[in-house]
Amino acid sequence: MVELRLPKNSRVTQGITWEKPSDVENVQEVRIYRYNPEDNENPRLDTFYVDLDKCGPMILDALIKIKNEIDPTLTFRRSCREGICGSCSMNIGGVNTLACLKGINEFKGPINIYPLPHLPVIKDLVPDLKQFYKQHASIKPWLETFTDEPKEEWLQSEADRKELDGLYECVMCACCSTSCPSYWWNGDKYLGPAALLHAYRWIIDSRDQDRKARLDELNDSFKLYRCHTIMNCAKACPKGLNPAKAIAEIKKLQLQNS
Amino acid sequence: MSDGIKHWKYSRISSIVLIPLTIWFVAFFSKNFGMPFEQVASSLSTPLNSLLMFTFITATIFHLQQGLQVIIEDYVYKRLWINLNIIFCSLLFVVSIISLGKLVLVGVL
Repeated sequence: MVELRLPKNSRVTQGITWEKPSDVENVQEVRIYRYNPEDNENPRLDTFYVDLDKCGPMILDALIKIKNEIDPTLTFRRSCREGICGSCSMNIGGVNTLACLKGINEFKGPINIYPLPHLPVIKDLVPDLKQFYKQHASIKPWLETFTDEPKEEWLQSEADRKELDGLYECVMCACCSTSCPSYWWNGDKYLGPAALLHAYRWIIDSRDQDRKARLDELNDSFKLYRCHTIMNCAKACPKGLNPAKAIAEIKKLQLQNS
Repeated sequence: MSDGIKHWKYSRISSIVLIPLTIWFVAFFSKNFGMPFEQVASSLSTPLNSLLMFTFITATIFHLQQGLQVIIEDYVYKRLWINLNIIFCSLLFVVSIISLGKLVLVGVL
């Protein structure tokens, strides 16, 4: 169901402005969404100033610097710092992306950092991804096989393996799903681009033997057909994948199947 | 709700069917624009034009119903609204077809 405004207790207020260092030339203003579930207050937008001469090049470097040197209570997920774990997904400058892959110099003026849109916030930049993972699990992200043969490895031709390119690279950062208006309004019933990209990855795997059941399962006006090719998913994906295309391919396979 | 592919297929088929029909519709009415009522009615009564008009009305209203249903599902999902949409479009269809039928079969009174 559509919601045009944030609920009253989720509206963002003006937060703390930390002192701007006076003796440095190269300063970047960063405004960060802060929410603490324990203090019963609305979320706020804090302003930090980062000395770029003593900071790494990426947004994640700035966040780590702020946490280390300015406010240790700042909370965010991060792990690999090279775009392979998908932990540091957030909304930076109005676009969902991975903080570790986004350069500070890609922005002019203050940088606004929010958690991923339209998800419950646990704390600061950490959203609740429970539903997102549940949807991923619902598409059975594994090989379904019914025959005993072959006894050993299930081999694939090079051409069959090539089909998985552009799909297997997904790191489940949720940038695509949370950028999708259809997912915002119907995230409880619509599986979202990430889960559907994974669904397609298993549907076209030459070794999978459950294609028909997978396609039937998705033949639902909400699970799959809430995709109206808005294409925000492809635009947001920090790995350059195209979930909208994968969804279109599922629709084409269903058409052949029907 | 199941059978997403049916809905998807029908909206695409109806939109493809509507491309030539809409061109005909625009051409027909730009030719007849400003003409006296009797003349428009009689040119609409020819077998070809009345058949095209019938198909145009059917496809348009079907496409309308399908499209509105998607919007309702997107924004307000409630069974009631989906049913009201079906009733509204059916009424629109019946009224349009009766009007066309009267024009073609009975002529101008």
